Amino acid sequence: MTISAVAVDDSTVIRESLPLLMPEIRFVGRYATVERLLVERPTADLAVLDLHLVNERQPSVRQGLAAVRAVVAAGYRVCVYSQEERRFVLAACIAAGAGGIVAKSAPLAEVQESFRDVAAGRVVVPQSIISLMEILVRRNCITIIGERQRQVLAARARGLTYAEMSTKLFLSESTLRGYWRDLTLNVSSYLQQTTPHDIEHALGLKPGDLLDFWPMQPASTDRPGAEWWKLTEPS
Amino acid sequence: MAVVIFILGIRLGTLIQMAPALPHGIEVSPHPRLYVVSFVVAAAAAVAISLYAVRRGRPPGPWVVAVDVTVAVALLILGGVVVPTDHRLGTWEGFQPGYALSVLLSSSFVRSRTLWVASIGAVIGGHLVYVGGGGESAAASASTTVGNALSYVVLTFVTRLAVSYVRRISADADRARARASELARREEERLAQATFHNGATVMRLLSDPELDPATRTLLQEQAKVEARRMRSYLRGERVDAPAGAATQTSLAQALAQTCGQFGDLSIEHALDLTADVELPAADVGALQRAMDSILNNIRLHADAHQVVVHLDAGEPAGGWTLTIHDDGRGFDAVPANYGIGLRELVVAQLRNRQIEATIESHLGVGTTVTLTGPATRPIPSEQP
Repeated sequence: MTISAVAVDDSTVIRESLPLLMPEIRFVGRYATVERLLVERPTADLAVLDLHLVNERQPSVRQGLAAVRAVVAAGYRVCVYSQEERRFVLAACIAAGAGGIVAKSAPLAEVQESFRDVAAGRVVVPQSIISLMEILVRRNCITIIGERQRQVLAARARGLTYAEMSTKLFLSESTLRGYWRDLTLNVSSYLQQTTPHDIEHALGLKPGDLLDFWPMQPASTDRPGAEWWKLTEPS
Repeated sequence: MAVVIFILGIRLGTLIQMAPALPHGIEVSPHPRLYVVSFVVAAAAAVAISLYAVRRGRPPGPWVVAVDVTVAVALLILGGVVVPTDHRLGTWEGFQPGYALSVLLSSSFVRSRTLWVASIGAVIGGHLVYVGGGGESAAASASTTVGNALSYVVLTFVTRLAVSYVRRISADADRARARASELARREEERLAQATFHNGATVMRLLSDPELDPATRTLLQEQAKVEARRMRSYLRGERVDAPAGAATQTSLAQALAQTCGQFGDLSIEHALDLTADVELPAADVGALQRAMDSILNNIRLHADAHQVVVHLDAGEPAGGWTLTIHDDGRGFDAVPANYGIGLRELVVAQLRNRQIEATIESHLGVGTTVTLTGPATRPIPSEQP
């Protein structure tokens, strides 16, 4: 089934090439800024959003977490499509309401599948976030998950594919995907509802380490162009 | 060599025992010249057999034994002529029985059982002829004759048993020596393979003209490390026990450092669960070498999109588990298909350190290497 999407990316090449590279996704709008998207607000199943939108031609536009929050607040399911790799920044995007995060270095087939998953309401997270999820579960920060979900999380944290997990756990891939879907929704809710202080505590970080990353302010007061991504990840 | 010494001792020792009685023997012999001839023949045979054994470094063969026994039997028969009746038993003037016994004992090493039994039979026969010429005196000493005949059998049998036992011990020792030599050769070969394998892989990768500059820089750094290792091996230094091998090292930090050397692979490392596990530096060094080998294999063969290095201290209790997974093309993971890297650096070397390695792979799906180590001495965590 074809899904509809809007794309927000400051790179003209990416904006123009996405429809050509992903014919199964119907791009109903492509924008260089979130502000332009919010003006037009076309109906779409998915918003594909780059994190880094400021450049010389548009120095004061909303980007990063502010952009995520604004697009989520406009009612879109957001999939961050970025080169960003710092795991706390990516976790902050999930906390800001993004439904998924896909690396621009990922193979095209994987990107399309992830876009479809996010459009369908599933949470897509990169490997670095999965290892964070494992820490949170192991330290009993997220407790309302079953034994099977723990097993699936342990396997995903080790990089196993659904095919490999199916062999090990004697469960069908669709069943495993179901466990994973419930688990990621659970973790997404946890990240959105938990204070940075509690997450710092859970991850063993120093107080205040996450404040520069985490979406603290309401969407309406986000400062356009906040340079949060220049901060280094806490050690 | 022990056998040669035994033969030398028996034959020359008997000759020394015979020598003092020679003058009196000549004196009492009814045929002094023949007596002297028989003594000289016995002495010559004893010396000849001894020299023969020394020269060959092993006991005489069956033909020489047959000749030696024949001479001894002939001397016994001749003894019935040259030795007076009252000197035939219990004296060294009648040296022939003692000499014949020394011949039988030194013939105990002959492998042919038939020849051995025939030799005993011939000597006993010769002995009966030797004492048989004694008339009434011989009849009176029949019991002694039987006893002497049994002495040939018993002493020769016991000697042969002892010889068989010594032979078995020697054979076992030879086998053990050969096995030790083979094991030493294999160990040296294994050490050489372990030392040069990663270096050879790095050189192979570096020889690729289409290598991107960033990866070339990483490989050059690895090449320096491998070159140092090879130099140490060629100097005869231990390459598997670096200085400070007994000190404790953070496993997570070491693994992160190794992953950093493979920036061209898309490695996600999840090492937070075990930040407090420390191992002896030698174990960590072996693990890093194993990781190098695994990641080089992925570089060369897997064509993987993502590699996940995951460290967990929870399973089994007190131990730690390191998982390296790639989503590459996989292979038929039976031990026969393992290369030197997997076989030596990953499985064999780590097993020596009580670290078990299992390799699972599915064609088209990926490969998982799981390393499981024993309980370690963790530093208390500051986690709540």
